[in-house]
Amino acid sequence: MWTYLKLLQYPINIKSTDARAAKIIMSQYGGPDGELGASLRYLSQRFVMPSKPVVGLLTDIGTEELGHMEMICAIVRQLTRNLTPEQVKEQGFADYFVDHTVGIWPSSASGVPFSSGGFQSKGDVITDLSENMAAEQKARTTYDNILRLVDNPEVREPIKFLREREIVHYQRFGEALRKTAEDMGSKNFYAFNPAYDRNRRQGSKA
Amino acid sequence: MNEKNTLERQLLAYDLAFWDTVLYLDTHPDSKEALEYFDRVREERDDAFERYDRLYGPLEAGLSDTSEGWEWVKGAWPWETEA
Repeated sequence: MWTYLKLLQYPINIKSTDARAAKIIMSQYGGPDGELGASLRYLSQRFVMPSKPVVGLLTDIGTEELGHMEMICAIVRQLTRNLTPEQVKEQGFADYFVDHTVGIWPSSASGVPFSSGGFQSKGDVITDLSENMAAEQKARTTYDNILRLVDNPEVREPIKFLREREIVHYQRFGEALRKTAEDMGSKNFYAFNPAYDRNRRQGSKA
Repeated sequence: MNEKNTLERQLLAYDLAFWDTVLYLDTHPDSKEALEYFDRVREERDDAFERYDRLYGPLEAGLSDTSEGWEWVKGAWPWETEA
């Protein structure tokens, strides 16, 4: 269960219209390494995790990602809210506009609709935590690319904040992976999957 | 920067410190230093939220005032700034 706070995690106040920037940044809402996929990845993986602290970490980072998704949507909204039909045409936004006007819809920058095919919930703690570390780095690279393409400081500041958070999350997932491997108490922690094999072993005894 | 913005920045700074410590404690649940820091930050965050709610309206629907209608939907939404 969740409660909504009427606040952005970092303030966003963009005064000028820029549909080109909006289209690029939208990828961090519904693109392959975006915040929507990040949140759904962690919040989905939680249910079979064998350790309480790892469930806690996935819950808390998955929740923060919902706030990041809202930040991205706020940036896109502010960059597009005053677009004239001329600007829509000049700034390469007509292909989005014809289907969505200036509504916010999750897709990649190239127009591919949001898909859960961009993330995994594998039901194996080692696999999922490794996936999450990669996911945080992929999002960090995307933010680096956005910073290479966008000059407006009103857009760059919140993007830099989001980039920093990817690095923190990567660090925390790395610690969780290390601790999980230690706790499995085996020289070969790939030998069994505690989310599945242990339950089956217990079941077969009964 | 007006007073509302200043308070909002303060609140967000405490909120970030709060949540960042939550994540740290998820992977370092026995860190005495982090636990003590968390207690301090939680208090500052609670105070800032309470001040903000009192002066500028509810941050949660459940904290809405009911004496003059449904306050929750009256203020600006977080992305509604002036262009």
